[in-house]
Amino acid sequence: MKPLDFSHELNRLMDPYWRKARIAARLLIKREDGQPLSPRDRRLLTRFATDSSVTNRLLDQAYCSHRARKRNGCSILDIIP
Amino acid sequence: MLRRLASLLPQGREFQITVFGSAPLQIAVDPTLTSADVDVFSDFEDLNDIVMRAGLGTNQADFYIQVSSELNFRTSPRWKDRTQSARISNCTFIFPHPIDILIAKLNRLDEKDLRAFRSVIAKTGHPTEIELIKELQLAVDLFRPSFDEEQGHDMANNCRRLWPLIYGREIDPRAEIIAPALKIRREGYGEPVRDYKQELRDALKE
Repeated sequence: MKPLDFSHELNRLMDPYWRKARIAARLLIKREDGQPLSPRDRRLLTRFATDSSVTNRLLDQAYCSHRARKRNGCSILDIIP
Repeated sequence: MLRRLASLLPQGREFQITVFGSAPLQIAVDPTLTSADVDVFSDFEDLNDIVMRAGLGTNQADFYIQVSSELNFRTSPRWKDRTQSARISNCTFIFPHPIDILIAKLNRLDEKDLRAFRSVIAKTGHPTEIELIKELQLAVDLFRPSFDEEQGHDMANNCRRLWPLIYGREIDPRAEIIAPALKIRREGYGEPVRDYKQELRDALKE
Protein backbone atom coordinates (compact mmCIF):
# COMPACT_ATOMS: atom_id res chain seq x y z
CA MET A 1 0.00 0.00 0.00
CA LYS A 2 1.22 3.48 -0.86
CA PRO A 3 1.95 5.78 2.07
CA LEU A 4 -1.10 7.88 2.81
CA ASP A 5 -1.22 11.55 2.07
CA PHE A 6 -2.20 12.98 5.42
CA SER A 7 -2.78 16.43 3.93
CA HIS A 8 -6.20 15.05 2.94
CA GLU A 9 -8.57 15.50 5.85
CA LEU A 10 -10.29 12.16 5.30
CA ASN A 11 -7.01 10.31 5.65
CA ARG A 12 -6.44 12.00 8.95
CA LEU A 13 -9.94 11.33 10.19
CA MET A 14 -10.46 7.75 9.17
CA ASP A 15 -8.43 4.58 9.41
CA PRO A 16 -7.53 3.67 5.77
CA TYR A 17 -8.35 -0.03 6.19
CA TRP A 18 -11.73 0.74 7.67
CA ARG A 19 -12.39 3.21 4.89
CA LYS A 20 -11.62 0.65 2.18
CA ALA A 21 -13.80 -1.93 3.93
CA ARG A 22 -16.69 0.52 4.06
CA ILE A 23 -16.42 1.23 0.33
CA ALA A 24 -16.23 -2.50 -0.42
CA ALA A 25 -19.25 -3.19 1.80
CA ARG A 26 -21.22 -0.47 -0.03
CA LEU A 27 -20.46 -2.23 -3.30
CA LEU A 28 -21.71 -5.53 -1.88
CA ILE A 29 -24.91 -3.89 -0.69
CA LYS A 30 -25.35 -2.27 -4.09
CA ARG A 31 -25.05 -5.70 -5.68
CA GLU A 32 -27.52 -7.21 -3.20
CA ASP A 33 -30.00 -4.44 -3.94
CA GLY A 34 -29.80 -5.35 -7.63
CA GLN A 35 -28.25 -2.09 -8.74
CA PRO A 36 -25.87 -2.27 -11.72
CA LEU A 37 -22.18 -1.91 -10.98
CA SER A 38 -20.40 0.85 -12.91
CA PRO A 39 -16.96 0.37 -14.47
CA ARG A 40 -15.54 2.33 -11.54
CA ASP A 41 -17.27 -0.03 -9.08
CA ARG A 42 -15.75 -2.99 -10.89
CA ARG A 43 -12.29 -1.44 -10.77
CA LEU A 44 -12.66 -0.96 -7.03
CA LEU A 45 -14.00 -4.49 -6.59
CA THR A 46 -10.94 -5.88 -8.40
CA ARG A 47 -8.72 -3.91 -6.11
CA PHE A 48 -10.48 -4.83 -2.85
CA ALA A 49 -10.85 -8.51 -3.75
CA THR A 50 -7.06 -8.84 -3.86
CA ASP A 51 -6.20 -6.34 -1.13
CA SER A 52 -5.14 -8.34 1.95
CA SER A 53 -5.89 -5.40 4.22
CA VAL A 54 -9.58 -5.64 3.32
CA THR A 55 -10.29 -8.51 5.68
CA ASN A 56 -13.46 -10.50 6.09
CA ARG A 57 -13.77 -9.22 9.66
CA LEU A 58 -13.60 -5.54 8.60
CA LEU A 59 -15.98 -6.20 5.71
CA ASP A 60 -18.46 -7.75 8.14
CA GLN A 61 -18.26 -4.76 10.47
CA ALA A 62 -18.61 -2.33 7.57
CA TYR A 63 -21.54 -4.26 6.09
CA CYS A 64 -23.36 -4.33 9.44
CA SER A 65 -22.61 -0.64 9.95
CA HIS A 66 -24.11 0.31 6.56
CA ARG A 67 -27.15 -1.89 7.08
CA ALA A 68 -27.73 -0.47 10.56
CA ARG A 69 -27.37 3.02 9.19
CA LYS A 70 -29.98 2.29 6.53
CA ARG A 71 -32.36 1.01 9.20
CA ASN A 72 -31.69 3.52 11.96
CA GLY A 73 -30.50 6.66 10.19
CA CYS A 74 -27.18 8.45 10.42
CA SER A 75 -25.06 7.73 13.43
CA ILE A 76 -23.43 10.54 15.34
CA LEU A 77 -20.23 8.55 14.90
CA ASP A 78 -20.40 8.67 11.10
CA ILE A 79 -17.64 10.70 9.54
CA ILE A 80 -18.67 10.40 5.92
CA PRO A 81 -22.00 12.14 5.31
CA MET B 1 11.21 -11.10 57.29
CA LEU B 2 8.83 -8.64 55.55
CA ARG B 3 9.11 -6.22 58.50
CA ARG B 4 12.87 -6.42 58.23
CA LEU B 5 12.67 -5.82 54.49
CA ALA B 6 10.42 -2.79 55.00
CA SER B 7 12.82 -1.32 57.55
CA LEU B 8 15.63 -1.45 54.98
CA LEU B 9 13.85 0.69 52.42
CA PRO B 10 14.66 4.40 52.07
CA GLN B 11 12.30 6.76 53.85
CA GLY B 12 10.46 9.61 52.17
CA ARG B 13 8.76 7.71 49.38
CA GLU B 14 6.27 4.91 48.97
CA PHE B 15 7.11 1.37 47.88
CA GLN B 16 5.02 -1.50 46.63
CA ILE B 17 6.34 -5.04 46.79
CA THR B 18 4.45 -8.10 45.58
CA VAL B 19 5.04 -11.35 47.45
CA PHE B 20 4.42 -14.53 45.49
CA GLY B 21 5.42 -18.20 45.67
CA SER B 22 4.58 -20.09 48.85
CA ALA B 23 4.85 -17.14 51.25
CA PRO B 24 1.32 -15.75 50.73
CA LEU B 25 -0.11 -19.25 51.28
CA GLN B 26 1.99 -19.68 54.39
CA ILE B 27 0.76 -16.34 55.75
CA ALA B 28 -2.90 -16.63 54.77
CA VAL B 29 -3.75 -20.32 54.60
CA ASP B 30 -1.34 -22.79 56.14
CA PRO B 31 1.67 -21.83 58.31
CA THR B 32 3.25 -25.21 57.63
CA LEU B 33 3.67 -24.42 53.92
CA THR B 34 7.16 -23.20 54.54
CA SER B 35 9.78 -22.40 51.97
CA ALA B 36 13.47 -21.51 52.02
CA ASP B 37 12.82 -18.20 50.34
CA VAL B 38 10.35 -15.37 50.01
CA ASP B 39 9.76 -14.53 46.35
CA VAL B 40 9.15 -10.85 45.71
CA PHE B 41 9.11 -8.38 42.86
CA SER B 42 8.77 -4.64 42.72
CA ASP B 43 9.17 -1.67 40.40
CA PHE B 44 11.83 -0.41 42.82
CA GLU B 45 15.03 -1.08 40.87
CA ASP B 46 17.37 -1.02 43.85
CA LEU B 47 15.46 -3.62 45.85
CA ASN B 48 17.86 -6.43 45.03
CA ASP B 49 20.88 -4.32 46.00
CA ILE B 50 19.27 -3.42 49.32
CA VAL B 51 18.45 -7.07 50.03
CA MET B 52 21.96 -8.21 49.17
CA ARG B 53 23.60 -5.43 51.22
CA ALA B 54 21.53 -6.52 54.22
CA GLY B 55 22.69 -10.11 53.78
CA LEU B 56 19.14 -11.35 53.13
CA GLY B 57 19.61 -12.46 49.54
CA THR B 58 20.15 -15.76 47.78
CA ASN B 59 23.12 -17.71 49.21
CA GLN B 60 23.36 -15.25 52.08
CA ALA B 61 20.85 -16.59 54.58
CA ASP B 62 19.08 -19.87 55.37
CA PHE B 63 15.78 -18.11 54.91
CA TYR B 64 16.33 -15.60 52.16
CA ILE B 65 14.56 -13.12 49.92
CA GLN B 66 14.54 -13.90 46.21
CA VAL B 67 14.04 -10.70 44.26
CA SER B 68 12.48 -11.68 40.95
CA SER B 69 10.60 -10.03 38.14
CA GLU B 70 6.88 -9.81 37.55
CA LEU B 71 7.63 -12.04 34.55
CA ASN B 72 8.39 -14.87 36.96
CA PHE B 73 4.86 -14.82 38.35
CA ARG B 74 3.09 -16.60 35.53
CA THR B 75 -0.52 -16.81 36.49
CA SER B 76 -4.03 -15.66 35.67
CA PRO B 77 -4.43 -12.26 33.99
CA ARG B 78 -6.99 -11.50 36.71
CA TRP B 79 -4.53 -11.70 39.56
CA LYS B 80 -4.22 -7.94 40.16
CA ASP B 81 -7.97 -7.65 40.68
CA ARG B 82 -8.05 -9.86 43.75
CA THR B 83 -5.04 -9.20 45.91
CA GLN B 84 -4.78 -8.40 49.59
CA SER B 85 -2.31 -5.88 50.87
CA ALA B 86 -0.59 -5.09 54.13
CA ARG B 87 1.19 -1.87 54.91
CA ILE B 88 4.38 -1.80 56.93
CA SER B 89 5.87 1.66 57.37
CA ASN B 90 6.19 3.21 53.89
CA CYS B 91 5.87 -0.09 52.05
CA THR B 92 2.73 -1.83 50.83
CA PHE B 93 3.11 -5.57 50.45
CA ILE B 94 0.77 -7.12 47.90
CA PHE B 95 -0.34 -10.72 48.38
CA PRO B 96 -2.00 -12.43 45.41
CA HIS B 97 -5.08 -14.57 45.98
CA PRO B 98 -4.36 -18.26 46.70
CA ILE B 99 -5.97 -19.30 43.38
CA ASP B 100 -3.38 -17.20 41.53
CA ILE B 101 -0.55 -18.67 43.58
CA LEU B 102 -1.83 -22.17 42.78
CA ILE B 103 -2.17 -21.44 39.06
CA ALA B 104 1.42 -20.20 39.05
CA LYS B 105 2.47 -23.41 40.81
CA LEU B 106 0.77 -25.45 38.10
CA ASN B 107 3.48 -24.31 35.66
CA ARG B 108 5.96 -26.52 37.46
CA LEU B 109 3.91 -28.80 39.74
CA ASP B 110 6.66 -30.33 41.83
CA GLU B 111 5.79 -32.41 44.90
CA LYS B 112 5.93 -29.22 46.96
CA ASP B 113 3.45 -27.54 44.62
CA LEU B 114 1.10 -30.51 44.87
CA ARG B 115 1.24 -30.22 48.63
CA ALA B 116 0.21 -26.57 48.31
CA PHE B 117 -2.86 -27.61 46.27
CA ARG B 118 -3.81 -30.26 48.82
CA SER B 119 -3.33 -27.93 51.74
CA VAL B 120 -5.27 -24.98 50.29
CA ILE B 121 -8.18 -27.21 49.29
CA ALA B 122 -8.20 -28.96 52.68
CA LYS B 123 -8.20 -25.65 54.56
CA THR B 124 -10.55 -23.60 52.41
CA GLY B 125 -12.54 -26.02 50.26
CA HIS B 126 -11.39 -24.07 47.21
CA PRO B 127 -10.74 -24.15 44.35
CA THR B 128 -13.39 -26.67 43.49
CA GLU B 129 -12.92 -28.55 40.26
CA ILE B 130 -15.38 -26.29 38.44
CA GLU B 131 -13.73 -23.16 39.83
CA LEU B 132 -10.27 -24.29 38.75
CA ILE B 133 -11.43 -25.23 35.25
CA LYS B 134 -13.04 -21.80 34.84
CA GLU B 135 -9.96 -20.03 36.13
CA LEU B 136 -7.67 -22.02 33.85
CA GLN B 137 -9.89 -21.21 30.88
CA LEU B 138 -9.43 -17.53 31.69
CA ALA B 139 -5.69 -18.12 31.83
CA VAL B 140 -5.62 -20.20 28.65
CA ASP B 141 -2.53 -18.49 27.26
CA LEU B 142 -0.48 -20.25 29.92
CA PHE B 143 -1.14 -23.42 27.94
CA ARG B 144 0.74 -22.17 24.88
CA PRO B 145 3.97 -23.97 23.97
CA SER B 146 7.16 -22.52 25.43
CA PHE B 147 9.63 -20.45 23.45
CA ASP B 148 12.71 -22.25 22.13
CA GLU B 149 14.84 -20.20 24.51
CA GLU B 150 13.12 -21.32 27.71
CA GLN B 151 12.86 -24.47 29.69
CA GLY B 152 9.41 -25.62 28.84
CA HIS B 153 6.56 -26.07 31.29
CA ASP B 154 3.71 -28.18 30.07
CA MET B 155 0.55 -26.87 31.72
CA ALA B 156 -1.67 -29.36 29.93
CA ASN B 157 0.41 -32.28 31.10
CA ASN B 158 0.58 -30.87 34.62
CA CYS B 159 -3.22 -30.66 34.65
CA ARG B 160 -3.36 -34.31 33.62
CA ARG B 161 -1.08 -35.10 36.56
CA LEU B 162 -2.93 -32.90 39.03
CA TRP B 163 -6.51 -33.93 38.38
CA PRO B 164 -6.45 -37.59 39.47
CA LEU B 165 -4.48 -36.68 42.58
CA ILE B 166 -6.68 -33.79 43.66
CA TYR B 167 -10.07 -34.34 42.07
CA GLY B 168 -9.99 -38.12 41.62
CA ARG B 169 -10.59 -38.29 37.87
CA GLU B 170 -8.75 -37.97 34.58
CA ILE B 171 -9.03 -34.73 32.64
CA ASP B 172 -8.53 -33.88 28.98
CA PRO B 173 -7.22 -30.29 29.24
CA ARG B 174 -7.57 -29.73 25.51
CA ALA B 175 -11.28 -30.59 25.52
CA GLU B 176 -12.26 -29.18 28.93
CA ILE B 177 -10.05 -26.12 29.28
CA ILE B 178 -8.38 -24.99 26.04
CA ALA B 179 -11.11 -25.58 23.44
CA PRO B 180 -13.94 -23.91 25.44
CA ALA B 181 -11.72 -20.91 26.20
CA LEU B 182 -10.73 -20.48 22.56
CA LYS B 183 -14.38 -20.75 21.55
CA ILE B 184 -15.30 -17.93 23.95
CA ARG B 185 -12.40 -15.85 22.59
CA ARG B 186 -13.42 -16.44 18.97
CA GLU B 187 -16.98 -15.41 19.73
CA GLY B 188 -15.69 -12.26 21.40
CA TYR B 189 -13.74 -11.30 18.29
CA GLY B 190 -16.93 -11.51 16.29
CA GLU B 191 -15.45 -13.62 13.50
CA PRO B 192 -18.01 -13.46 10.68
CA VAL B 193 -19.53 -16.64 9.30
CA ARG B 194 -20.19 -15.01 5.97
CA ASP B 195 -17.39 -14.95 3.37
CA TYR B 196 -17.57 -11.36 2.15
CA LYS B 197 -14.21 -11.63 0.47
CA GLN B 198 -15.52 -14.42 -1.77
CA GLU B 199 -18.61 -12.32 -2.51
CA LEU B 200 -16.33 -9.55 -3.79
CA ARG B 201 -14.71 -12.05 -6.14
CA ASP B 202 -18.10 -13.43 -7.21
CA ALA B 203 -19.34 -9.95 -8.02
CA LEU B 204 -16.49 -9.52 -10.47
CA LYS B 205 -17.51 -12.65 -12.41
CA GLU B 206 -21.04 -11.40 -13.04
